Order: sequence, then structure tokens, then C-alpha cells
Amino acid sequence: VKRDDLKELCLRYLDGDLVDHDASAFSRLVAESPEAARMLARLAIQDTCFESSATLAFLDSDETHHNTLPWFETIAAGVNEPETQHISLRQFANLGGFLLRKALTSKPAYTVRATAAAVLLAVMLFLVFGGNEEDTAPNTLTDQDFGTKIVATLTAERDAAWDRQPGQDLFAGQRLTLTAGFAEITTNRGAVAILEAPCLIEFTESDNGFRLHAGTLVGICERPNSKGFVVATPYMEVTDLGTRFGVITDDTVGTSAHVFEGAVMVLHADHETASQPRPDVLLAGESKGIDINGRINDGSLHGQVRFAAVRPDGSLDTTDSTPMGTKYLDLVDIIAGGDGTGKRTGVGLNAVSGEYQSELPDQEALQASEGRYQEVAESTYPLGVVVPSPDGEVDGLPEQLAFPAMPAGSGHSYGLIWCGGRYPEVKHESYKSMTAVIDGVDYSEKGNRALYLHSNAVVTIDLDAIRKAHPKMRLTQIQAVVGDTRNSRNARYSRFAIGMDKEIALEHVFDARKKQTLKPVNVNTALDSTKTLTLISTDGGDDINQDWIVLGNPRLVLEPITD
Amino acid sequence: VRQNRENISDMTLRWGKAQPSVTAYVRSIVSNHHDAEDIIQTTVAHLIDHFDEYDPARPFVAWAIGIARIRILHYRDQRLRKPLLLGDDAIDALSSAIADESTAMDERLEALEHCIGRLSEKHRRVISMRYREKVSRKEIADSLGIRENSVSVLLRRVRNVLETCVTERLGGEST
Repeated sequence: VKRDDLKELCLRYLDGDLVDHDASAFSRLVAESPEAARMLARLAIQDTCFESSATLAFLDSDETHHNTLPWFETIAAGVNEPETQHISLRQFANLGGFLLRKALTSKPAYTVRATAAAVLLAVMLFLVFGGNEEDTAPNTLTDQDFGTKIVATLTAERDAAWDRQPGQDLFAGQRLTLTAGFAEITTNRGAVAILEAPCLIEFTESDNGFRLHAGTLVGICERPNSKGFVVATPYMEVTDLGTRFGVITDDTVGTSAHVFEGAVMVLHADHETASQPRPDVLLAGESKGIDINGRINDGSLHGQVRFAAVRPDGSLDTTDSTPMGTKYLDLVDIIAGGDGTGKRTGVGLNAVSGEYQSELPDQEALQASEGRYQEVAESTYPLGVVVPSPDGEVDGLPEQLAFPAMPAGSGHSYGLIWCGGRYPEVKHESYKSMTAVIDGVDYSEKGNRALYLHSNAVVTIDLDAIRKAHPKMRLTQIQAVVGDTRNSRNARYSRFAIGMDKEIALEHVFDARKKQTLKPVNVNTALDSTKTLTLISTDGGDDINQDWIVLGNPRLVLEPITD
Repeated sequence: VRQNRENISDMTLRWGKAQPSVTAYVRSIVSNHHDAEDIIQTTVAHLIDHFDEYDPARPFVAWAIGIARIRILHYRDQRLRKPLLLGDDAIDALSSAIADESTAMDERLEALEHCIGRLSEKHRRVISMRYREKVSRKEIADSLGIRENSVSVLLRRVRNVLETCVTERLGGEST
């Protein structure tokens, strides 16, 4: 390793510009090479000396030596032309393949020691050659270059510029550089990622995730065990919650994540407020970005992105990221009486009387009803409530209201429809288990929204009124995660449904004795020209007992009208 | 009391010379600035409390770095969730290297001052902004009208040539 190359590596380390993987190799280099340790020592001392009073005084003085050596003049060469210094996404993608290949062809990597040396050399070369190297030759890494743990498989490709074949195992620690085309990776747990070139990924010990250093991918997690698939970029960690999503990252802009179906959890460090990293849940149509300086963005970081996935027949399935200007109306706020932007929290709505209440009624007093529809008088948009009767009949429906055929209920309900925050604490044991934790995410916590819809309770929302309030927008979808958060299996069923005018658009029965049916339902339903949206929670025919149906982050999607 | 005063005076003198090396050692291993300062402070406190244990036959800087090393390893054990980038062997190797490189600190500082004098005004300015004024890379970029990434490149190049210049001036190899 040339002295200047070693110096560059040490300087990058001192600047905190080595990623963990490269830093690990650098640590071994310092431990094993006295020259590396000496260079690091000199540069570290030099950096510290810049701060000493004598040196600083000299820094600020006007005194200069005019016999400047020629090589001092080379310092700035190229620095003022950022394009020549910046490692572009394409160069970066090319670089990984070139460097690893060169490292491995320089030293046969059939022993652990040789592999370690190759990794060290790769780090050196990576840092030394920067983005100046153009090389698009296929990657020739072989299986024994890495550990023995297989974490994924290359399952398909289209026009991929490498000599890999579908069916090839992929190993922990392995880096893949895709310089052209598409490649489909399937993790050991069944998550599918379609990479779009240029792309550089690195596998870790995880059998359900990898690092995306640069590039674009679509993640598809449809198989039962694939949930929890993680894509880690330098700026964001995206964890699937059962979904289809896209991620794009580069070193010029940052990372943005876009959810097409279901939900993902993103973890980021909020550098602006210096807070601890905190997870955010994104639903279908939602996106989030973090730029290279750690600033959070609504996901428009990369503009409108067209994500592409390869279908089994080799054709491309493209999905555009959410249009610019998309807005979301918080259904919790709307049902709490607001306009969808106010984040009203801690508001109860009586499903029998249609009145807002800030406290729960006596827990022994059931909210009994004879199936009478009641308009909510104090809401911004027209709302109505009803507690389904045993015969499914609903009385008092306004003539103009398009209302679906109602499933039967016991005719009574406990407590209130509760909007936002935690369900009020009461002494009754059954209420103590009322949580808003769905699939590991607590929707009662700050940043998330919870709508508690204990059986039997029905709410109608006038969508036409909302449309009138947003004349330049198109109401496209309702989105939510729905779960039954009961912790008892004594009562078996609860039922959730969404009515769109007179039709039941979505229906799901939570069965406590079949654990798998307690998994949440991802609602991502198109509203089109629906006039009345109805949220329906019933007891499933076995009376009300811990039917804790909760909607996580329910919202309406408004997209700008572009015509 | 008089002995104590002499000890403190001796300790202060020695620490003044060792401080850049110990600071460099700690900061090059502990990236969090506040944590690094805490370790340096506790190291100094230990040196003061245990100065009577110091063997004058040994270089003071080596003793101080040895104490700092123990503090760093203790710090590392407390933060299991985010391990240090350098492993134990590298930390040990760096201890020896910094102690060795510190033997001629006065000459090194003098050489550095000389070499800084050979920088252009712009490059001295960028070093001053970054290390004395603690100006962020972004602010430097705004000041110089270049991109933030270019500031990192520029700083590395300036430090690179300074190290070469210092090493040449001290009579060491540079190629």
C-alpha cells in the first residue's frame, strides 16, 4: 500500500467518513501494520496541534513563506470543480465491483488470511481510487470469497450486467454491484427485492435484509415469514410490516422510502432536533425522505420516482411514487369533530347518542340501542353513528344516505368510540387490556393515531362534504392498519368492515382462537365516487367481550387534480 | 505542602507537553466529542491524583496515554450497543505509535508551523475555520463557494501535504 494511499485512508477515518464495514478492516490494518498505526498517530496529533495556541496564532498571522513548493499548489486542483470530486451514484456502483474484483484477483482468497488481506486491500483501493475508475466488467466474485452463511438467493434477472445466474446463493458479507438491468433477490425468509441498476447492496448476517449503499429497489413481502424484511441505507432503516414498497438512496441527495401497499416502519436519526432515532410508520401512498444532512423530508426528496419490478414473465411492473402535493386527512380527527388536520386527541363519541364526551360512561352501563341511526351534531363534516341491532335493522336513516346492509350485532356496546391517544383508564378489568398496539406498533403514541372502535359501533362519514371542502383535490383512498388488540381468547370473534355507500367493500373477521387471524388488516381501499364511507365494528355474533378493534393511522388520501 | 506544590507544578509542565498527544489519542478512538472530552478530563484527574506513582524514568506521555487507554476501554465496555470502530489490538497499537511520535513534539510543532506558513492564505483559512473556529463543513462550503463534499476533500488534501512537509522537515521518509 502506497504511503499516500494509507494517509488518505487514515484521514477519512479521522473525519468519520469510513462506513462500519470499512472501519472494521481499517481497525485490523492499524493493529497489524506498524506503519498504519504510525501514520494514524501522526495525523491525529497534527489535527490536535491545529488547535494549540501557538499553531493557531500562526494560522491567523499574515506571515507566509513565499518559496511555496509546487506540490502545495496541487492541493486545490480539482477541488473547486465539485463534479470531478464527487463520487456519483454510477461511479459508486461501478466502484464496488471493480475494487472487490481487483482485490480478489490480486490475492487468491481461499484462506481466511487471504480473504482478510483482500478486504483490507479492497478498502484501500476503494478509498484511493475514489470515483475516477470506470469499469463495467462483470463481477467475478465466487462463493468462497465470503462466509459460509447463505442469506439469500438470486432468483431472477433481466438485462443484468453480470455473469451471475438465477439460483445462485448469496452469502453474509457479500457485496453485489449491479451496473445495468434488474435483478431479483429473495431472502431466506421469502422477502423479495428487485434491484434496479446502478445499485450496490451488501448482505449482513441477517437472513431477511441487507444494506442498500446506493441505488433503487422494490421490496415485496407477501410470504408469511417475510414480514420484518429490513433495508438499511446510510440514512434510513426501512422495516417491512407486510407490504410492497420502494427505496431509493444515493450519496448526493439521501434516502427516500415510498409505500405502495401495506405499511413499513422507518427509523431515522433526527439531526435537526438531536433527538434519539424514533420509528415512524408509513402507510400506502405515503413516503418519507432523509437528506444527506439528516434533514427529514416528506419523500419528495428525489422528485417523482418510477419504481420498477420484474414480473415472472420478465416484463416490468412500474409504480410511480405518490404524486407531489398529496395530502392526508386524519380520520381520527374527523371523527373527533375536526376537519382532518387538527390531530384532536382524547375525544370520545357516544355511538348511541352521537354526542361527544370527554369521559367514559359508567362501565357497568352498557350503551344499549335499538339500532337507531343518530347524526352527530357537533362535527365539522356530517357524521352519523349507530349500534347494530340483533336483527340488523337500522332505524332513522336519512333518505339520502347510502347505507350498506348491516350485519347483526347484540344491540349494545361498551364505552365510547375513542379518538387518539390512550383509551381512558377505568377500573373494569376488560378495559385494562385496551391497547393500541398492532403488530408491535403502538398507535397511541405520539406521531401515530389510534381510533378505538369497540364492538358494536358504526360511524358514517360524508365524503362529498369533504370533497366540497377540497375542490382542487381528488379523494382517492382510505388507508389504515386494523387490528384486534384483545389479550383474551374467551370471546372468539370480532368483525370489522368498511362500507362504501351501499356496498361492503372490505370485511374481516378476527378469530381469537386462530391466532393468525388476529394479524392486522391493511386497508388500502379506493374511494372513487363513494359518497358515504361507513366504518363498522361488530361482535361477530358472540356478544361483546373484549372486541378491541383499533384502527392505526386511519386517513383519507387527497391527490391534486392535475387535468 | 511545598512538595505538593512542586508536584503539581511538575505535573502541569509535563501535562502541557503531553496534552496534544493524549488528546489526539482519545479523539482518534472516541468519535463523540463530548465523550472524548470527558475521558480526557478523567484522565487528567487520575494523573493528578496518582502523580506520586509516576516513574520519572519513563516518558510521561506514555504513562498518560496508558491511563487514557484504560479510560477508553472502560468507556467502551459501557456502550455495548455502539462499539468503537477500532478494536483492542488497534487501540494498543495506536497507544504505542502516538507515544513514539510524541518524543519530539516541540520539533513537530515547529515543523508544522513552518509548513503552515507555506500554505496559501485560502488553505490556512480553511484549516483555521475547521479546527480553531469549529465551523461546520457546510458553513465553510458556503464561505468558499464550493460544495460541502469538496470541503472534506480540500481539508484532507491540506492535511496530507502538511504531514508530508512535516515529515520531510523532521528528516523522515515521505515517499
